Amino acid sequence: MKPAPGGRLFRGLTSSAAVAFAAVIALLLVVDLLYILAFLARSSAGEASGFWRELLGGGDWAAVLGGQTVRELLLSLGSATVTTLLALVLAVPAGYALSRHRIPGKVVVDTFVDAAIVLPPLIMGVSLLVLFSALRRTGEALGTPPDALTGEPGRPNFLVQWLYDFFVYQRPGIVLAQFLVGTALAIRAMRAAFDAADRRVEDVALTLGCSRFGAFWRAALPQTWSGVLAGGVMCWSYSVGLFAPVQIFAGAIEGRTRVLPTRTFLEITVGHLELALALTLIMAGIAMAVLICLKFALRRPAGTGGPVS
Amino acid sequence: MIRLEGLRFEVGAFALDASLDMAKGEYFVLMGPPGAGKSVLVECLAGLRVPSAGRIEIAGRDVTAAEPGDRGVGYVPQDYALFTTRSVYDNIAFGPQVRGLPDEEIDRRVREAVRLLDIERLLDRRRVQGLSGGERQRVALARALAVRPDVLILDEPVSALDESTRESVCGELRRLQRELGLTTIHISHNLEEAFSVADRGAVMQGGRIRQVGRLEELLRRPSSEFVARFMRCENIFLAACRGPGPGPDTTRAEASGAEFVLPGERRGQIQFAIRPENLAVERPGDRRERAGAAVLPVRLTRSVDRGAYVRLELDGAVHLVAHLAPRAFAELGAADGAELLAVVRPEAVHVIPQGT
Repeated sequence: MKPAPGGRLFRGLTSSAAVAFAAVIALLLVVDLLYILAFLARSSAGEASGFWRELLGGGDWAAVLGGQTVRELLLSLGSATVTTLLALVLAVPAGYALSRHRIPGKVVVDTFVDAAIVLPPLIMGVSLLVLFSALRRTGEALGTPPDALTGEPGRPNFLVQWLYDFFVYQRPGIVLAQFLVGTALAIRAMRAAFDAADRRVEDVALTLGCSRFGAFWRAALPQTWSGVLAGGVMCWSYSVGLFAPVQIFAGAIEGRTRVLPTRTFLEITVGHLELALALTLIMAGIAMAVLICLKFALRRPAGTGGPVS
Repeated sequence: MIRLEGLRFEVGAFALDASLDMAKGEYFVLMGPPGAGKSVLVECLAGLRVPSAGRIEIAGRDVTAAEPGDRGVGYVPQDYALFTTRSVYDNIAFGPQVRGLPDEEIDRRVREAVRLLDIERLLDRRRVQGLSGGERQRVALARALAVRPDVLILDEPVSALDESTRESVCGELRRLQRELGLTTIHISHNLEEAFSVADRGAVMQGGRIRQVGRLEELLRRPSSEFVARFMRCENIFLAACRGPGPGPDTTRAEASGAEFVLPGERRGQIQFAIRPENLAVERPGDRRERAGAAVLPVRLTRSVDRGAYVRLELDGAVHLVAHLAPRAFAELGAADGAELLAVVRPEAVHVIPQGT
């Protein structure tokens, strides 16, 4: 059936908003690509060769796969994936609680969740570093003091020291920095999904013999599949591109904690704009490919539930 | 079978305060306007809300503190709340599955439920989306019946269905209840629906049960103005008794200048109701026996054909509403503006008990 003229206009206007935004993002990436091509066109053979070596790590596949870019890309994708899984473990029950339960001071809790999104990412990294520094000082105060007689130095509290050593300037620190904001985004998505879900299905599940947890797991959660996917996609996308708090808290140690966005930033600071743009395009291309695969793999047949983000 | 004693539940400004008894195998309808507390009451019964006081007994067992799944209650909410990510089969099998029954028993119960509801053809549907309203309702009923409950709760089960299917679905609900001997509580605010399924019922208002009884009794002998109005009685008057009436054991009473004859000996101020279908309307020239009845001159201001009856609005000393059978209205041959007589016999008048 053909839509009415008014319907066509409405569909055209709303669709053009989505298409226009997507076009702007695509344009940005195309301009980046053109910039790189222009650089290669005006560069000497030596400069171009240096660019490719810096970007890919070498001339053969072994060198490319073992190169810095691939290592940093894998670290970005891997840390974002771990962050997303951990974030969903927390966001699903948190989103459910914020949607369904009466929690004392719920507005305050909700606002602090939002604060994680509102705060500048750089500040989040600084705050984390300040927190762990304070934690270390507390650990020193709680530990064994120096022995004045033997001159043996004091030892900090084992657990606190272990926590510090585990996160600060280490790979788990990348995940922790990504986790703080990524989880807030996932909680938002989960809460919206639970708000939209029919809570009667849980009631029915309870009368059919489910426990509270069983009703949540078997009846409520399957309804919010699109919310889990939306939250996961948001968290993963955000985490893949995050660099400021990661750089502050986990550092940019080559071969250990340097992720691709941090490398991109560092390349800009030393004037290698074409290299930074090339790294950005690689990251954007791979992230978009992963997201498209994920959406196709996890989508449900049309008309069988809520929208898949 | 079901006994609710002093059940209390508060939420915000609303407070439920109800006591109720239902017999085994009874089809009971809970009526009342929106916000009366019908759903809250059945949710307390099902264990979905925890009452602040009172006792709930089902089949002789105190279930006040029991988990919803341990009460022997099958629950079909208004929107059916099917599990949209499961197939029709898995929806129906859900209860037996979570109760850990063996696979053969689960399958037996699913097939038994679909046979009972005549929905075998739906068993191969992978999703419940795309089912019609009636099919969704049957799947929800089958899901509730698969756990073999003692009590079936139906929260406005036909409100989402179109007018033409309501009547047949109500008939089927009644058949099902009789076949299984299930104690059934059916929430409704529709009188036709209530009369087509239930024997007994209650009218609720503001969290309280205003009257319980056989539906005929609720209709003919309302215990309060609210119940009378809810049962669609529009002729309710406050009158002053003026002494003995023309017939034996009757009283004359005056309401806004109109004189009625009431059954029994009465004094002082009283309130009474006349059901529209019990009001006779005649032409002034008709020579009919009117002895002992109140005869009020009225003018027909509006007549509306409602199919099963014609609704007449009559203005005189008081405003009256009468329901006439279409044939009787045709025989009356009255057009809007016609001068008529409203004849009210004492037996058509129900005196509402005072203080209600």
